[in-house]
Amino acid sequence: MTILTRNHVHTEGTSGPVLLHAHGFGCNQTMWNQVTPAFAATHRQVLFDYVGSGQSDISAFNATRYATLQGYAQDVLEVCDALDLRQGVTFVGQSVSCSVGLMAAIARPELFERMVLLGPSPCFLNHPPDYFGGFERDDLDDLLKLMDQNYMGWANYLAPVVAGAGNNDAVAEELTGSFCSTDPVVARAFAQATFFADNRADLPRVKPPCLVLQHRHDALAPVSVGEYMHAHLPNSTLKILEVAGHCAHMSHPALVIAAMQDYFNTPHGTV
Amino acid sequence: MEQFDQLPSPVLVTDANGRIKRCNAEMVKLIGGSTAVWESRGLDELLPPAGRIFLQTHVWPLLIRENSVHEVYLHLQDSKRQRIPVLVNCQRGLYEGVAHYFWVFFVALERSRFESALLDARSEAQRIATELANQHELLQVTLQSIGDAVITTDTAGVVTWLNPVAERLTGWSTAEARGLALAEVFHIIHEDTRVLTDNPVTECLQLGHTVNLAKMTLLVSRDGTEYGIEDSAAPIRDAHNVILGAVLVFHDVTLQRSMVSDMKYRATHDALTGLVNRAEFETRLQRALEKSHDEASEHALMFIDLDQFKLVNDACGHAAGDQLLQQVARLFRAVIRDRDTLARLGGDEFGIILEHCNTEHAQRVGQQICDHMDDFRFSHDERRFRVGTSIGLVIIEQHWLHTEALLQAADAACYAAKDAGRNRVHTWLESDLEVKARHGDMQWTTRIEHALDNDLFVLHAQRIDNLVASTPGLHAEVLVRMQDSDGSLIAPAAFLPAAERFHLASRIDKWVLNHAIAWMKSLPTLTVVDNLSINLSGQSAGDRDFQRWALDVLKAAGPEVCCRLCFEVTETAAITHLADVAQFMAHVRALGLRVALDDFGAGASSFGYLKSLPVDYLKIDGQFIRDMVDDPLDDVTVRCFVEVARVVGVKTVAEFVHKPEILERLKVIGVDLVQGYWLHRPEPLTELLHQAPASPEHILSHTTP
Repeated sequence: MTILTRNHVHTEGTSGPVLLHAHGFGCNQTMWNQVTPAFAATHRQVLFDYVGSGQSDISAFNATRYATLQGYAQDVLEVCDALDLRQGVTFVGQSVSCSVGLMAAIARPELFERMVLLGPSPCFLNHPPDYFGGFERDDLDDLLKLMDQNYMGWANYLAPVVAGAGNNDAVAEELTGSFCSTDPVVARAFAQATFFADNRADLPRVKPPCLVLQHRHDALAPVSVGEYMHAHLPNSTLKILEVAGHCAHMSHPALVIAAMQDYFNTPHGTV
Repeated sequence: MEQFDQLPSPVLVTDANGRIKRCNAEMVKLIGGSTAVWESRGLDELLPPAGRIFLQTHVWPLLIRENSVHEVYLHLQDSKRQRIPVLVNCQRGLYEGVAHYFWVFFVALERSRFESALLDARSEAQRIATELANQHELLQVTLQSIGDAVITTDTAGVVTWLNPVAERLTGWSTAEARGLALAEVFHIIHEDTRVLTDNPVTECLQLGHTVNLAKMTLLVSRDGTEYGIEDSAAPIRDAHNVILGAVLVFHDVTLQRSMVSDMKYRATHDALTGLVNRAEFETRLQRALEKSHDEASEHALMFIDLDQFKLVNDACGHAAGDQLLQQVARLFRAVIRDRDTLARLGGDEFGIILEHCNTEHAQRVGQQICDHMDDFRFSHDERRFRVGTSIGLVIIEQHWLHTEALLQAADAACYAAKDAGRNRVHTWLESDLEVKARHGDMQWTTRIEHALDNDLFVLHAQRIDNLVASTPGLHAEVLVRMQDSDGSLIAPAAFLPAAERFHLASRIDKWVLNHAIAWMKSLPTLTVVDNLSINLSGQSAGDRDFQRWALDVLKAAGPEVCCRLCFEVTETAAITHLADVAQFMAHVRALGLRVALDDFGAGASSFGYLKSLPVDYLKIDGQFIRDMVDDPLDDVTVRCFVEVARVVGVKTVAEFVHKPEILERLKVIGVDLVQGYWLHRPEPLTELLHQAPASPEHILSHTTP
């Protein structure tokens, strides 16, 4: 099995600099669907699903490898290698993928030209007195329980409901099968890797310049966390999006596209 | 907008940023605070941290893509930070011309997650709602989306509107139903009585407040389908508090109700007979006892034990045993009143509680049961079984403090009934000596063990006379007596039941066999003895340890002794352990012993197994002999047994010959051997040889008129 199959890799466009879109926890690559059209003419775009998410090959899931974000960063690098990308890649990540991208950039600084980080958090847990990620360990245990309870019924429920709503069955299949993670074991692993990760110490080691896109009201990654990112990344730009939520690329794609285009058009050398 | 507040489910409207725009009264009731407090806050604030993560990582992405989510399990955090499990449905719709999200919550107790059929129904309602979304204003959208059925009426109770769920359940579309009286569309009856139930809307409009429907209501839809429903009706008021009509909200609880009643039924009933089970019986007994204390009333408690159940079960298989229990249950049911309780307490034990019933009446009922059982025959494969009952009766009255004591008393009374000769009612009395003796069972065991250890048993014997051929030696049945401390003798009827219950019967049998053999060996010559019959208890006959021991003893005693011994095994014991007993019989016969089937006819009245049992004698149960000259049925029964015995080549023995007329009749019928008080009263075995052997004259003197 190739990496391209394993990670359900899609490339769009054949010329231009590469945009590598990495999805967040709980979803898959299709969450970028409203962003990619804006760059179709100018960029070669790569989309993929992490192993265990979306339409990746779930048989490649290895509990040890994916117990930490390092395993997911490995996915990113392997996808790049499979496509023979060696430099000039712009990494576009949301939520946990921001940390994954930063780890990949530390491992292979020459590969990435820059990073676009939407709603990043280096650490979701509180570490008083200096750092407040927003959550306690117990909250994350609760999350795992909540996921179990929902995944139990989700696959069964969503398919008929969505299909009945007038979409064709293939769409429904795709949605329930992949948009929201439905495999409890994999989802637990991803959730644990995500929410127990602490990448604060990695931030100063990131070489490529970063655009931090911060939601104004984000229950998962509050503005203070975005500011922490900005303060600790050696070469970063902080842009606050005047929206509520954690997925502006879906709810307000135009804002995200504009911010990215602005950033791409602005020279940002090493500070 | 007043109506929005009156919606029966908790509902929120948020904008695309998750900011709460509207919050109805039910929602406030659920989470506390007030509409003013929640409106303008974020949906996030209603969720504990884990819920916020799930909302952001799963729910919103799906909602943005799909415009709706269904049955998401979350916890809400109310104003006191208590967590409430909920199932959330959300869909996008227009509110004041702008896209908003309508969140409908169902309080989800854990079990409701598994009531999948109910969820399916809700999903179906949601599906319909989804298609209609964006075309309706706030109220309509929400009413369409909720899983409950909703019917609105005007002040006269005339239907104005039905939501899709209500249309489905009633079978009426809004277009058809509009303008009709509610009763025509919403046809409800009581589940048990099936009487038309009052319409809650009428009452609600009269009283001006919410009215909940009586429990156990069935909705009969237009096509006759019946749904178990729960519902309530609330008045609709305008801003000036004037009633505009009523909103009737109901939901289908058919599945829940059938699950609940089914589970309750299974928890309280015996699967085989459909009778109440022991647990429920004890609950009802407790209630009866409490009632007797509260009202100073009397009720009756009965324990019923079937006498031949094991026999049927073993002879015909468990399926037949089950049939017997079902038939007997029906028979009991027919005797008692509807309000009385009949329970199967386990195995072949039944219990009855007769409410408001005195001793006299209860005894009558008990006797009726016995009479019915006396007439009843269980048929299986052309075999007919007589099944007796022993009934213990206790009156539930104030002086009883606990049900345990009542149950013990009933149990004791039931045993006493059994001891007294089966198929009878025994009423517990404080002064009841028999029952006290029963309670003194433990004392019996001590006495029996003491007697065994100190050789305090005595062998008596009753002569058996041969009507066909004169035999030179003694032919007798050995009978055991226990010596009391004052030297008096206790009859086996007094101690054998206790011996059986406490598993001492085999020890007594061993004692008897040992002493009988020893006595024979002590004789100067064995030729004076022709045949000595020894009774084996059911416990011994079926017990392999006993069998092994007996075979060893017999071999040691030698063939001269063996050919003069006969084992008597009751028909019941033989059938109970048919295979084991048959094998044992074959073994002892190989050693030269003879075997008699005792009490023949008492239980099974069946001949089929005679083929598989190698016996030499059939001892007809005394109950057929005792009255045979007066009872033609007994007479024909005896003739029948004799006929069968002749066919299978077995000699017949009649016991209980207590008057000369019986002897005469037995001779005519052709019985081979006889015994009974009229011929010989049992006496010590050692005395038996001192008198003249059976005098043919004695017998023959009655052969001629």
